[in-house]
Amino acid sequence: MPSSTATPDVVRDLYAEHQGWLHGWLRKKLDSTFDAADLVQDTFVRVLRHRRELPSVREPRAYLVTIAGRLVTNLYRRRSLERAFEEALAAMPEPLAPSPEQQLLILEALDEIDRLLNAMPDGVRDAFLLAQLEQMPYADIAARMGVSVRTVQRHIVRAYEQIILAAP
Amino acid sequence: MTQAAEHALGADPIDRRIAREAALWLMRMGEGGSDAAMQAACADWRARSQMHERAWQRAQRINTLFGQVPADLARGALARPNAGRRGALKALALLIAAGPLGWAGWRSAREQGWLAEYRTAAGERRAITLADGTRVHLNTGSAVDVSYRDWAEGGATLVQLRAGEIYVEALAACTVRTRQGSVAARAAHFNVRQEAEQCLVDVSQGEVTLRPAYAELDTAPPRRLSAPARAPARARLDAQGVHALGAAGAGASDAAAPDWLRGVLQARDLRLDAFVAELARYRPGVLRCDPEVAHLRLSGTFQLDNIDGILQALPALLPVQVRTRTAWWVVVGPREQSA
Repeated sequence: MPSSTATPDVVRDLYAEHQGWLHGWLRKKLDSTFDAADLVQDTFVRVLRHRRELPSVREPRAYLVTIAGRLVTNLYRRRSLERAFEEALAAMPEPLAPSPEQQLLILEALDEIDRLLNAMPDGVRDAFLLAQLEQMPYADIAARMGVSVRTVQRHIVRAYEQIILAAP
Repeated sequence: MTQAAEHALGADPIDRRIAREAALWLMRMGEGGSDAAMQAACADWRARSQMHERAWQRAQRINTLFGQVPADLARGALARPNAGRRGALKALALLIAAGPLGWAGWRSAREQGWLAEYRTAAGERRAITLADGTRVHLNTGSAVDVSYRDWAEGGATLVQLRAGEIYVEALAACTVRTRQGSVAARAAHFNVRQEAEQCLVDVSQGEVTLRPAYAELDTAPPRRLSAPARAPARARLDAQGVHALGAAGAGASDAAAPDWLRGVLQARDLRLDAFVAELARYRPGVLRCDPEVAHLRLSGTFQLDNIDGILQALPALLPVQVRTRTAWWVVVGPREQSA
């Protein structure tokens, strides 16, 4: 049982010392002081959640930039998802469009899927989406993608494997 | 990081070997035709340890998630090109460029109907037989609701066309409702195609009565307009009312059931943009025509069950190139000058 868990005080010091330049760094990247402020908060929420790791962190700046950078990427991913979702919704005939409550649930489910699929190589992702969304048999996917059925099976296995190993 | 997160949640990270085995099981089950023996073997595998079951549940989670999203919305959202995967800069460029890509959504307008009673996916065709013997054929990406008693229509079978195109072989009183109006028939064969702003009706046998949607709201008796009785005749329903278009598809055969019913697409000196738009109806994803080659024309008979084959053959027919960006993102554009 390691008892070296950092206390919230350590996180507080880290915050006091680094939030200023981190905000500047994020503002330059995001071109928005509000988004930057949000992500500074999110960064430290993560630091707090993973504070067991802190004692082994030698370069606090590099550590914070790594976390913040990931959050920036995720923010862009989420925004492009929302945008594509809005477009798909706008194109729906009104009587068929889901209610606002349903839309929210659908968007959250899509976000979770998108997160999981995001790290996959293009081929793996395409094969998995064709199987899930179009319910296509592997042989059809192979024909569509111009690869062998064996390759499609490998892609599907890899996709599931990555999903299982992803942090919940 | 991942491991730390798992520790924080009080769960051990899943062993790679177990993750791989679970993935193999899911792949096999997804192959279809999993029999009882295989399911039992899979259940045994899951029961080996808590971690086995946990690996299985995690993968099942994604299947559950996919079950919660309508395919067309998911397709539009998840199959967006370069979905932020090439890092922040590329994603930012995508955000800025996202405007002109607005047509990513137009496809889904046609493929609607995940709430409807009967529907077909892109590329799928099916026929249903109603209680009175009337046959309704659904073309690609179509959706209908059927109800059998509509007293306002005098007890006719009521077919609500929510999206796409249907061919009806009515044996008794039958009314098809569209967004722009309704088509009523006693015993007639007719095709109804719902487009964005209008609806096209082709009568190939018998006679139908067309009523624009606004007439249904009037307190005054609805205006009735009959399509010419000789087959085939075409009319258009739109916000302005009913417009007779005369004989459809000049030179079409006598018993002119639509070509799509036989799984073919006839092009007669058809503009490429119209041709590609037609093909796009039969293929999931985005298929579009670059304006630079939109004016090209082609003729021929094409098999609707092999859209990818048609796309592959296009460069042999016309000076075009077919670019596939993802499985769902295909553009027919001008041929690139080499060197």
